[in-house]
Amino acid sequence: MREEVLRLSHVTYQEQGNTPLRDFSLNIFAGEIMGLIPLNCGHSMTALTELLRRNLPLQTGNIYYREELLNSWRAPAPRHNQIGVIQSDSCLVEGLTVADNIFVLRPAFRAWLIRPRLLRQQLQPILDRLDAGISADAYVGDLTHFQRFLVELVKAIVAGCRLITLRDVSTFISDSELSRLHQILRRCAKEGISFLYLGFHYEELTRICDRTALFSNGRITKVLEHEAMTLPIIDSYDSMVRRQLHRQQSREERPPVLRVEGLSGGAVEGLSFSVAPGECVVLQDLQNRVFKDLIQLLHGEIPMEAGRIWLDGTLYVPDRDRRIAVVRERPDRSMIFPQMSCLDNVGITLDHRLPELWRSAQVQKGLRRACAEVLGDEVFQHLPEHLSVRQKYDLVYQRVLLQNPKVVFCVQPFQGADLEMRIHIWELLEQLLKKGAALVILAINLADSLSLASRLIRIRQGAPPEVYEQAEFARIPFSAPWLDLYR
Amino acid sequence: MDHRSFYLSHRTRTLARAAFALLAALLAAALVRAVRGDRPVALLALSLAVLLAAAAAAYLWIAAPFRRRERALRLIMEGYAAKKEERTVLDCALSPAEEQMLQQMRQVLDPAKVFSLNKRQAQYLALQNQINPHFLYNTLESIRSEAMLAQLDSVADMTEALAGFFRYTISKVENLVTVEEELQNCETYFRIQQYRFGSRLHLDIQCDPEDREELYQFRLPKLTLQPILENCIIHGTELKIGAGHLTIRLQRTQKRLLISVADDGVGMDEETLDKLNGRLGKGGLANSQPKEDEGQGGVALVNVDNRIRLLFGEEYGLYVYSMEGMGTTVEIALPCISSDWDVKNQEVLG
Repeated sequence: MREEVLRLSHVTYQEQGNTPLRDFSLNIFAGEIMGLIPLNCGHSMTALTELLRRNLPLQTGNIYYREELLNSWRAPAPRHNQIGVIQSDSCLVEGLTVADNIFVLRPAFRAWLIRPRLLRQQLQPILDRLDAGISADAYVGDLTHFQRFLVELVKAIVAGCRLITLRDVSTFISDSELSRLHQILRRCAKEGISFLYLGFHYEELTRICDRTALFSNGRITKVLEHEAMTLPIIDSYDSMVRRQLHRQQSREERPPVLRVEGLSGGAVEGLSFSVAPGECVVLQDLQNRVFKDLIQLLHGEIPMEAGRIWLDGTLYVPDRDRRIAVVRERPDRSMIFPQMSCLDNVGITLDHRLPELWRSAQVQKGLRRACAEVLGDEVFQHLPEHLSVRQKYDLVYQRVLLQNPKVVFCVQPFQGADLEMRIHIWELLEQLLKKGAALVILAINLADSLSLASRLIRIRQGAPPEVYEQAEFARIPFSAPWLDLYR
Repeated sequence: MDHRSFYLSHRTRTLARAAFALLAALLAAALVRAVRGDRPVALLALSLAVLLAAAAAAYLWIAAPFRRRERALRLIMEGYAAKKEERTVLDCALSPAEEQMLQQMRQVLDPAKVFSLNKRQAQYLALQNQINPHFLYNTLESIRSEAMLAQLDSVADMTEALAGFFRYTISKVENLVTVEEELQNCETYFRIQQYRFGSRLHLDIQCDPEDREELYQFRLPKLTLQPILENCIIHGTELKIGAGHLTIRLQRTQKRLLISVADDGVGMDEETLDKLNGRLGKGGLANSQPKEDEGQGGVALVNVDNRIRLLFGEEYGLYVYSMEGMGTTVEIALPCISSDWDVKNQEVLG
């Protein structure tokens, strides 16, 4: 007999006129790691996690937790559920210790006096069992992303959650930490805790999940057993990777357009790399600490303590220079200006190429005509906030293409993108490379980025960076997709 | 309960009258005191309080039930059957005429009637060529004997399987059967189909060996699995190039028996899947709705789903998972019952 921890039966949920979940049915058993991979509806994951976290009114269907009715379309009972949710936005209080976060902030904590020694005695064995290397007295603000993740996991377990939802984990912890996490999850699963593992990377889910549900247009279309994990869409992805590898091998050697020598400032320490036009270099931050400071250094927002940057043969003084473009994480949210029209959004970085753009209606009309051929004319008939996620990505990348930069820095370009969207982002990045831009991808997890890369640089604070040329990818000491192609 | 207070028209009238009378009295008193030269602050505050109380009462007593009723009616229109005793769903009516209409609707959606309609449909599908079962069995037995005499073992075996299949489908009149009997019928049906498909078709029945004995004794509506298996063969594996694998997997939880029937056939596109799942979970109304996909094998699944929901309640039934090129899985959720007395809706069982 199996114990059923969660069941969603024919659930339809609407919010703000959208239907993120439509006739959604799924069940999870005790001790099971259930994967959920969105094929084309990544935005629905937020609705799903919210619905699990608290009882929101359902349009139809019922939700059962441990075979008891939790939420129903008939009589919604608004309350918080005992289902843990761990995602990139940590819910820990940075100024408190690990023990305080786990015990004192628990809703069930009723003690009048806090006894730190008792809390420490209770917590330390759990932390040691997870081999987390965390002290119960450590302040959360001093922990790495991975350690915070483990603290959240312990917090959920201590709070009595029998089901924990993990969302898009690999975007904020590195590959080696991911392998460690998987071992910990397996151990917890053996003790009867279930996990709903939401992720966009098919390969990652294959490694850990007992079953994986395919999430398409708001509903589960198929549930795959671990041994039957294969998707038709992966074949097209695979052929794209092979095509890119072939293109890289036949690429002619060109002098670097950007050369960074011993760059230091903020969390960046002695970073050196170079990148040529049409080449892609991946910088992997193993501790998720460097990227923000690196971008600020390039823009001159924090002082450069040491090192030099050469751009296009001349010494580069950090500033907002149109020769360098930055595509931030989730550009559909971070790089769209909702108060501006779509045309203004596309042309906002064109001042160096079309100085007349804002004065001349004719130039604007010409720009619109040119962009409509790529983006479609309907994009310009809507406000930016009414565009689909795909259209927003197209808009941002079109802006970068028109800006014609020498170097493009992309921060976690595949973060939060579902399978279809990942293929599209891959094509957009390929367009940048074809146009001759040098591409620097800043990644924490290599799942997609590696397939575009000519070189990989792994950065860890306090240690010299590890550099791998494409020919050496086969000896990368962790499992990443398509590594077999390099072997 | 005062029956008249069930109607929103009555509630509105009562509330409006009471609030108006009280307000009029208070305002009149305030006017009198104002004429006398006093300041009627307390009376005006009381009037305001009465007004606010009337508004709150109007919301709780009229507006909120009205909104619940609207939502419930919309869901009934979509196929959720409301039972007579479900006052939480339909706890008010606009007027006596509307209540009469709701009663008529409940009669139309009477689970017993809908169930018998579905049962008749299932029998009709199975028996449409039947004139006299005994005549059919005798004839099949004669064919089997002739085949054995002629040493045509395969014909004899096929005839035996066919007779067994008809005997189960036609002659066994109980509503509920054991999982074991249902699986035996599936195997008989599969044996017949194997003569057509040969080694191209494989059937695997999986369950936890520790639970097998218990699982096989649970009861479920007759002809639950075979129509689904038939669908898997006809719409899934028959159209596939190469071998087809069918799997029946049985699992149990504390309250539910979960049976999944899966094929690795051609699967279906999202639109078809959407339509099919849209017709499941309607508890009887699906049959009264337009059947655009009748030719696509939806009827049998809807029929099985309706019978399960009418017998055991809306938390049980079918759900279909499918993807083009990746096969189809039909998941059947049933209660873990070993006796007909455990059926929730005895009225339907007759």
